[in-house]
Amino acid sequence: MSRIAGKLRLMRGRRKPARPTSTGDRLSPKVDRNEALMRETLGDSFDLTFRTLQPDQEGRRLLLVYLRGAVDEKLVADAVLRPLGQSGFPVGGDPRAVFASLRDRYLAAGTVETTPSLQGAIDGILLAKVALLVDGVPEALLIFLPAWPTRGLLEPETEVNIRGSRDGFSTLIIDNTAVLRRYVKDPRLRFERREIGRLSRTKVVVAHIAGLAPDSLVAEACRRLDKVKLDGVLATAYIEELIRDHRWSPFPTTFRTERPDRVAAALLEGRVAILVDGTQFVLIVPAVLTMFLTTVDDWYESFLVGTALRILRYASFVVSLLFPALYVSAISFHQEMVPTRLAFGITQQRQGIPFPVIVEALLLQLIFEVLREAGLRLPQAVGQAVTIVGALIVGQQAVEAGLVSPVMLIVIATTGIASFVTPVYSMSWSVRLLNPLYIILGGTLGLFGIVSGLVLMEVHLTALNSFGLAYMSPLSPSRAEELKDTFIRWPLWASKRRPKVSREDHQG
Amino acid sequence: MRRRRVLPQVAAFVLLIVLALLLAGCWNRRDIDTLAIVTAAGVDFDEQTNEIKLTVHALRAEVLGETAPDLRPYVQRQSTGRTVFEAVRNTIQQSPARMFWAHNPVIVVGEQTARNGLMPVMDYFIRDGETRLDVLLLVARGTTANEVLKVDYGVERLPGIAVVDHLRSARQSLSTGVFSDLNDFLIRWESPGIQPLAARIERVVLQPGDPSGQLTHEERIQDVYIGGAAAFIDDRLVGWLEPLEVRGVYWLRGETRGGILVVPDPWQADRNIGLELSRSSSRVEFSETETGGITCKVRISSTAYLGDAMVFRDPLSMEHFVTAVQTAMEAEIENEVRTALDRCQQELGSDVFGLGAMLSRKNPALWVRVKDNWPAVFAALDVEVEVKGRILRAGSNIRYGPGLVR
Amino acid sequence: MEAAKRSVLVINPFQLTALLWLSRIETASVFLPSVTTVDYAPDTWIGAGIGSLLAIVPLWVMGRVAVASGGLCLVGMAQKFYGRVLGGAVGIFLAQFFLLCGACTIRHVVEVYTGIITPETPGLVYSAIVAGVAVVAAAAGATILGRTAVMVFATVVPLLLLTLILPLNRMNPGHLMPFMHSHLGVLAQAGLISFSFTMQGIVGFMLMPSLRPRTTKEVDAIFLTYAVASSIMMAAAAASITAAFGPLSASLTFPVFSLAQRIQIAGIIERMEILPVFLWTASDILRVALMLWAAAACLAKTFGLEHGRRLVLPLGFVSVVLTAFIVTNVFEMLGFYTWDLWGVYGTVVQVGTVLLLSTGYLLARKGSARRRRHA
Repeated sequence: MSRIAGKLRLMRGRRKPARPTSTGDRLSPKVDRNEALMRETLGDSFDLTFRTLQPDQEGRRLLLVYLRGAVDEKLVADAVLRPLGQSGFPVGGDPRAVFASLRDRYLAAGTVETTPSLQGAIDGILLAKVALLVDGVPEALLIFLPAWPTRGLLEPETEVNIRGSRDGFSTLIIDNTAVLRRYVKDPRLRFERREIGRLSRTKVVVAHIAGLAPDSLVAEACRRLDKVKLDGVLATAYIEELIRDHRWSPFPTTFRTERPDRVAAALLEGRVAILVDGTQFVLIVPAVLTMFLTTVDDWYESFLVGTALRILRYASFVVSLLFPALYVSAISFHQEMVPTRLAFGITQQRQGIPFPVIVEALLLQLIFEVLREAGLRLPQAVGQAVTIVGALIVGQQAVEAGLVSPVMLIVIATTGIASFVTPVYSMSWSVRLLNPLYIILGGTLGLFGIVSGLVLMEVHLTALNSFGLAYMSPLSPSRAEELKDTFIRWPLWASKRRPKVSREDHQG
Repeated sequence: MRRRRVLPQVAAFVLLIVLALLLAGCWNRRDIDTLAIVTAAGVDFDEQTNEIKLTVHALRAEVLGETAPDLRPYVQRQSTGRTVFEAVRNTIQQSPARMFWAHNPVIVVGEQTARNGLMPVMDYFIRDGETRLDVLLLVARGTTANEVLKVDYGVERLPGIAVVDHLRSARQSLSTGVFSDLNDFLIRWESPGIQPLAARIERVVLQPGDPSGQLTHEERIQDVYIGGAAAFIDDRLVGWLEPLEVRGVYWLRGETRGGILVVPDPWQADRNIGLELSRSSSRVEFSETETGGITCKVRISSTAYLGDAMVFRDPLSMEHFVTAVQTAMEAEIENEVRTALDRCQQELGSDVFGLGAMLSRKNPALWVRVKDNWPAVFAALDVEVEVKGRILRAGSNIRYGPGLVR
Repeated sequence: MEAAKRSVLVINPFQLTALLWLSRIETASVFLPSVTTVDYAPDTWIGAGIGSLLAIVPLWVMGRVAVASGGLCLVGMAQKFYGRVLGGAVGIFLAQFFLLCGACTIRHVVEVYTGIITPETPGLVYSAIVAGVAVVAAAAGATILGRTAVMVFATVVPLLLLTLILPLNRMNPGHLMPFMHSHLGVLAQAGLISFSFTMQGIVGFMLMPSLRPRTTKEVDAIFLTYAVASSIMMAAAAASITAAFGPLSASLTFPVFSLAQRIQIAGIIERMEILPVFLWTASDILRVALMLWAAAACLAKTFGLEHGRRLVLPLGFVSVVLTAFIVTNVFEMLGFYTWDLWGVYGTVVQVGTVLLLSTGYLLARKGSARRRRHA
């Protein structure tokens, strides 16, 4: 038996190149061996750089290993190479002493760690650190000198505003935390660190203001993050999908934004923000429905303007959800609802249209969505032209061909324009998902269908929770204090208390 | 964290959609263009054949936008049946489109049918859910509804709508038309102490000697007259009120809107003054006489503007002139009310004024005593009319001018 | 957070009041029996208003008893005072009572829709969908029911106000005269009908265990507000109908619908009878949900289940079946809502429950006092 095992071992041994021996995961004192180990583990990568230094004649060598591109090579020169070349650097003597003096005195860098394990050194290299090994010391120094490519604080494209700052978040998490620090210069602003994703090892930060955000909320957020098991976290959406409440609901229960001022405002309200490295979108929890229907412009103009904007937005929200359905139900079932002259006009326009109203509505809605999506995906110069031209021409020609009636075109166009008023993309998608369903309900069961669907939707909305907070608060459960900032934009000079997510909201 | 399950709700919504889709061929869905919208209706009861004759104007939507004069945007259909409902259903035999009644503005009833009793023919329109109670009711004098509905209207291409507008003007601008719908008729019919009143429509034939119907479009225009009223006792037509008598009824009830009151010029025998009426109000009081009878005192107050004096006046005499005209105005109003009262009390015997209803509100105890005998009491009622007129404005442009008359 | 894992479903007083009032709206907007099933009189609105107000007394008494016995629901109190068996019998009786109320409400919706709006659609479609949505709402629990009630309430009440106010130009105040001259019998009939409708607020006591905060003051406030609001609503509806239709009001089948048909302002605002339709449907769905929930809770308490959520679905089915069979047509339904049928039956059952439980409470208190004295 052992002979077969031995033969198998030999066979195995023959298939792979001879593995250099190492005592488990520990680094070897020999620099050469470490280099071989690293080359083997990381492979012969294009960006993996090995730099051997020999500052003294005794053969004590220093090895620098880093990933070019991830590490700022200029900083490598400043922080590592220049101090090494200075006089006074102890070249002889105990390697451990050299190591200690490097660690404690000579490196002109901010973050310096040490690790005795090979895996730790490799992790560090992958995380944009420079590994510095001293011959004779089975430890590595890890110097953090990142230069991840980034595009900086670009203007957020998905959240346009008139009077706010044009800064958006960047894709580097360290930049984002810095921006938040700029908004909230209080020692109670905390960034809890997490690393998620087996292969991507993405840095995730849970930001909150200790004392404002309920501890239970923070604990719950961290708990859910810890339960995420993914290979790669490429965007906030990955985490979002795994930590959100009610994954079957068409409504978003976490709020994603790329605006620092929104995140700062949420933090000041006692909410928790989750930042993910590599993406400029930040998650805010808990999220309530009213958050999805407000823009920063509400607060940056006077309260009258803010109130008018809000009312307009709520009205547009309802219109974008229900207008086609109401029209279809009126034309198909409740013709007495339509004013007489309008009824005559609509009858005249619909002469010769081959489809029933409900099919016409669904068809036009579909075409509109296709056009909208096409406009999004095309490069910007071409996209706008296609959308406008497509909408106009297609609509016009459809009417002329007698496929749709002009009234239906107006209805769908109004609905589409109203849906653009919804500022948050995820919420506008909820509406677009529900819209055709309401059209079907209105076209088959009339107003009764629409009302039943609405009541069912309201039951659903009031059942939604976002991290313990009722989705429909402050509408229901009603809280008079918060209610005043819902329909009208309560002027700042009249607000005495801060709006906050309180512990009570998590129950009832 | 309490995790509430929302999957049942989402599933229920999906189930609702699926159910709705399965019912997609369902029962009451009618696209609006498959409906024949009724824009006018007329009901007659033919005593010879003992059948209901229903005349209906169905909208022809495709013609609506066009302006060719001979192309009417409606189609006139006639059907018969033993009941109104059957007649309505029988219209299917003539056209596949289903009649849609919810937008019908007008129902015309022939004189004979009205005399026999309106309720039997109106029951369908009251009972059915699709017909509305705010449809205007008109009674055709001297003819059948069918004949009246054959008339062409030039300006407004749909006769039903034209009739409504016409009647509304008659009510608002002249106070000589009765703009009352089926609902008002029913309320009056059910209330004790007031009798129903409906609008009157009659066909004025411009060229009576043209039976072949070769009249041109222009010659057919505007030969319908809307004004005056039909007076009922319960639901039976008993007689007609002329336009000024209708206004007398409105004077008594304080419900006049606008109108022209022509009074003889107090200072010049052969001239007339035109006064534009504003609103009026009235107060009616009842009292008992020693002999146990009832007297009624009506106080009417009315405001008018001097519209047309037919001759210029100088400013110095204006004040006296206006006072004199006021007196004449009061006399004229009282005259109109009296004429109406005489008509209703003596000839028709119908309390369209609603004096009984007023009595029941002002003096319930008295009403209880006389209500069973009200028609007789009404006919013998001694009504005292007192009018107070006021002339507010005497025109705006010119107060006096050449050709002064002293 | 872990403590909240216990399923204590909480409803607050505002939500409970909204839910109760919402369940009352249909009485003032579908049939309005206090006007249509009695002889015509100009003052029926006074009778309706006062009758509803009188319901404050038994509701207040019941509230005090409920709070004093520690926030039990009706069946819980019956079981506590009269033992499990008798209490169970009360529970079963109340369950069928609430279930029948729910089935009647579904039938209302069916009658309205198949009567005037879509005559050809079979009623089963409407009853199935109303019951289905109600089951989902009730199964979601008391908290969700309360929250949804507040939201629906916020949309429905302004619509009701509009429906009653907009036809103002077509109302004739003369129809409300002579003031206070009607035969007292008619007023008493209207009052009795309204009283027994408002007394349906005892269904709120089934939600008592879920109510937080549950002080005497809050409970008093809930039922006082509810009764006053119900009274104002019924009186306003009756007054509007009488003013608009005069003697015709007693002949109308769906008075508020006919009232909404009269709305006509400046030729623009007209054909608004969809307003009451939306009112009915939305508030009726929630009322049925409340009744189903209450019936399920009664049965659950009777048989010792932890909560009745599992029972809601089968009860929903039962109610759909019942809806088809309780009455043959709308005239029978209206005939049931007369003062001598519904007025008497509803009053006996509802006030009887209050009397039964209050007596039980007093007896229990006397008994325990006697025991304390002897101990």
